[in-house]
Amino acid sequence: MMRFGFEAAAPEAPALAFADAAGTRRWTQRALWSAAATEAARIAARTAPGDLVLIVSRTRPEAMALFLGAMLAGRPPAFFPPRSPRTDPAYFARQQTEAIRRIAPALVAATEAETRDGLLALSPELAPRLLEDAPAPEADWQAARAQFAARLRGAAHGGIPLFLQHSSGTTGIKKACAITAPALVAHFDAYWRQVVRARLAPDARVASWLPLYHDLGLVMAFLMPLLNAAPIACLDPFDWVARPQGLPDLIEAERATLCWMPNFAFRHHVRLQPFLARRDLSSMQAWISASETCHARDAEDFEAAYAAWGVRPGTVTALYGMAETVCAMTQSLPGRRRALAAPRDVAPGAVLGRERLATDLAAAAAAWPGARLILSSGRPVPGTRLAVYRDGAPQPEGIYGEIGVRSASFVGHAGAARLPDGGFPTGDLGVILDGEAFVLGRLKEVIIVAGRNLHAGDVEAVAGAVPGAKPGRIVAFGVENAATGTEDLVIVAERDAAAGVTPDALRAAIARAVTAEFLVSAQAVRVVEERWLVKSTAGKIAREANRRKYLAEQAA
Amino acid sequence: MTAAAFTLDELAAIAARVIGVRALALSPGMAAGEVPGWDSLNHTLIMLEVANARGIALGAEETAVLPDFAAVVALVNARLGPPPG
Repeated sequence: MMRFGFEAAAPEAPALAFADAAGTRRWTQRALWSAAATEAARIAARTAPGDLVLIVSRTRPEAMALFLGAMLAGRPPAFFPPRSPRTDPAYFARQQTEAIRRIAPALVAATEAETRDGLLALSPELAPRLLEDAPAPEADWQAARAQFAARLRGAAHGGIPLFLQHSSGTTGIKKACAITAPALVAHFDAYWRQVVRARLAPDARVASWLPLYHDLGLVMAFLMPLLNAAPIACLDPFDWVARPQGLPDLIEAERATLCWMPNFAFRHHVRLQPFLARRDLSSMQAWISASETCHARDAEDFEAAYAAWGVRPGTVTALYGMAETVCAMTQSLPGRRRALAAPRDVAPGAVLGRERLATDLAAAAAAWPGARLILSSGRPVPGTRLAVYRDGAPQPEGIYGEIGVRSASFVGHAGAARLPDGGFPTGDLGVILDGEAFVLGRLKEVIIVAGRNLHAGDVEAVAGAVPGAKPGRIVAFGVENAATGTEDLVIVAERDAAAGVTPDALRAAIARAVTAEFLVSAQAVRVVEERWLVKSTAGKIAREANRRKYLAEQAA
Repeated sequence: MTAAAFTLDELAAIAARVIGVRALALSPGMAAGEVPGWDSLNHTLIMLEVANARGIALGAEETAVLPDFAAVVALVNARLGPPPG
């Protein structure tokens, strides 16, 4: 029978260190489980087993206790993003209300008064389903801990998912993955025990600014260390964006050993380095890049920028994962960095052979001019198999195409497609070489900006609704930006000359509308005259052809 | 001795460098959300650059809530102290 670290953790052992502008708050194991037990009782009093509990909150210990409490009570929780400082409050409330209407949670817990008030102002009918702050008697933290262990072993609330997580970033509620106890335990055993603890950092102490409404933040910076009773040091993502000094401060103070971040954050920290106060980062055993295409140059530049702070060469690694398998499918190991020199234009079915593998990035850049240097995401974790599939059949190594997965922690989502051999098509494009995964992009027209998934069609719909834009004559696409380490969102819009809107006004209006809708700023909004955009023979806007046309004109 | 006044042109030059474009045309009534490329990460970098260039303390959070660029320029000038003369 599997034993979890939290079952035997000392009451006063550290559980959480949460830093914000007011300082650092620390919760012991006893404090965390006490708070969770109290929340479980409050939630159970308002709901029935199996009811969904939605938690709309910034990252904070209270939100984590709510999530844990809901799992304890057998009411599956899901995190939802709170309002960003850049989002219009009325728009946010409308969006959240629509989402809540669709998934119909039995209970909504909003830990910030501003979020609660915003939701109530627009949807007073939510009042009966809001979990109000109320004093509650202290609950038995040891009983709660034992109860959670029983849940993980399937001995309580069997058949009810532990929690829900959503597999697609910002554009609506795409796919709710119901994570079961067996799936979470399989992920914990395969990834945390056999890879993280055994190969990355035996003394696991996590530092994170990741949002809890994203699978990487929820699983790696909360649930995995929770099961292990490994200390978690965290910041709210909005605070990290506004005050990035918080991350090195936290790592030094808590002697953190592990930190997961999307690729863009490594590049962003390279740009930030001259402005940050030096801290000792030598405790770090592994930095893990995930959630978007991992670029070897960004990993190497990050290590170089922070070498004097104690960051060691080869400690930036990569993970490939998705919400449908709880999180991790692969993980590379420190000190064994390999990159693939991938051509910028490559079609599924092409061969990308071992001759393109490199450990020396400068040599690879010289040998393959113009190539993208994609960081290896490593080998599959135990219990997971990956292959590139074509026409439903697994392909030999070296063939570029859509990656399919079979995993012990796979839960999928409603309506998920399946491969003939029972595997799951990930929608990601890449290649397997020497057993390692190199992930180059997305099969569907998804633009990944700083870890957020944007569907091009959704962006085009919002931009196309701006007065002055010609309906249906808009295209959105991604362009890789080496300076930021992520994709830029580019929008090209034909102007309706009869509408009387100037190109500058239209450009600003589209930028404003897209930022408000997706919390992502377009890097470029180009307003063009009618008939600039290229259409396919089927009469549809040809996204790739327009991307090429845009880039050619930019380069001219 | 007091510093020269901070201007919208100076803000535009710093922002263009951070965002990675040749030039930016900013007007006092515009806000960050209307400028392609001025996202929250670049906002932080821009404010760090401004603070560094002018030797003042300037938080990304406090400037993110200002209504327009005129208010950003005014805040920087307030931190710099009264104009010369």
